[in-house]
Amino acid sequence: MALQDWLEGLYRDHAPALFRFLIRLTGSEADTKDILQEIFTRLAKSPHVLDDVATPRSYLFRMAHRLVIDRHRRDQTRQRYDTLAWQEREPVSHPEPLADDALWIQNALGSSLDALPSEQKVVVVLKVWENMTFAKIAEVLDIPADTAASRYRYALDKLRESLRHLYKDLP
Amino acid sequence: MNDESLEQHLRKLPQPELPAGWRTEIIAHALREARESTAPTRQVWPPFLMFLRQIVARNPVTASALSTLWLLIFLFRVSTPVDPSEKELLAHFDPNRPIYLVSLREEIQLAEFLQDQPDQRHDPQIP
Repeated sequence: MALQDWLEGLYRDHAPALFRFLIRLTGSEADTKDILQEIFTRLAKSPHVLDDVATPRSYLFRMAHRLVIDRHRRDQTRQRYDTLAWQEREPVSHPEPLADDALWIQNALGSSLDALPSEQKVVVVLKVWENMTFAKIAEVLDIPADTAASRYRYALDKLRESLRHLYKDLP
Repeated sequence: MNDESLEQHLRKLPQPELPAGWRTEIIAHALREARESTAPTRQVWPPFLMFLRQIVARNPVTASALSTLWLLIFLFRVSTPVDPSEKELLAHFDPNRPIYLVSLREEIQLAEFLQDQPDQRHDPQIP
């Protein structure tokens, strides 16, 4: 019963953020569910794994990220976790102009975000929605903080570039 | 559009919500897996034998190499003459003849001693 309560608490505290993170990376609800299930199964099997962890959230994000990479390696043909360079991707289809300019930008931004290379997208997700510092992001992704910052910079540049035609048209 | 406004637009993007029905399913699955992983399992074969069986049964190259090795060991064992027993060795010696069990060092000392005293050559004294 104690294990169940502990898992329920972890789920309540971290599952929504993990879901947002995973759904952005995988683009698939089924994959997200599988990975989320795998994370909680591992936690249930080794409940003491978080004993010495200072920030469980970072640890769980790191676990999720590694599982996404593993899944991608196992199933490269599906190409959901896209690692192609921005230039190699198909051009992003820009949405039709809507009545509301903000909504128009949001739609374009969502498409552009999904089209980012995964290593940049993951940094944007952690920085913008999880409010992590570059040091934390570096810890989660096991990369230097400078690399995390430069990936974020490249991602913002690409997003801005993809929106350029929009805010030129806007009054 | 500067970084700040771009981040604001990103934050305004609609966030997908975690489906409410997943909680029960995911936690139940995790608990079931944890129970199964900690359940005691009876080991039919000891781990070392399992390891051996896995090597021998699943890899024909290793299996034939091991068989050849054992065959060579067996042939070597068979073809090597057995050392004679102590009794057989003693049968070749005259029991009435004394055997001086001396070391090489003592033999050298004896030779040097005899060289120094040539008159006692016919009546050696073991030092």
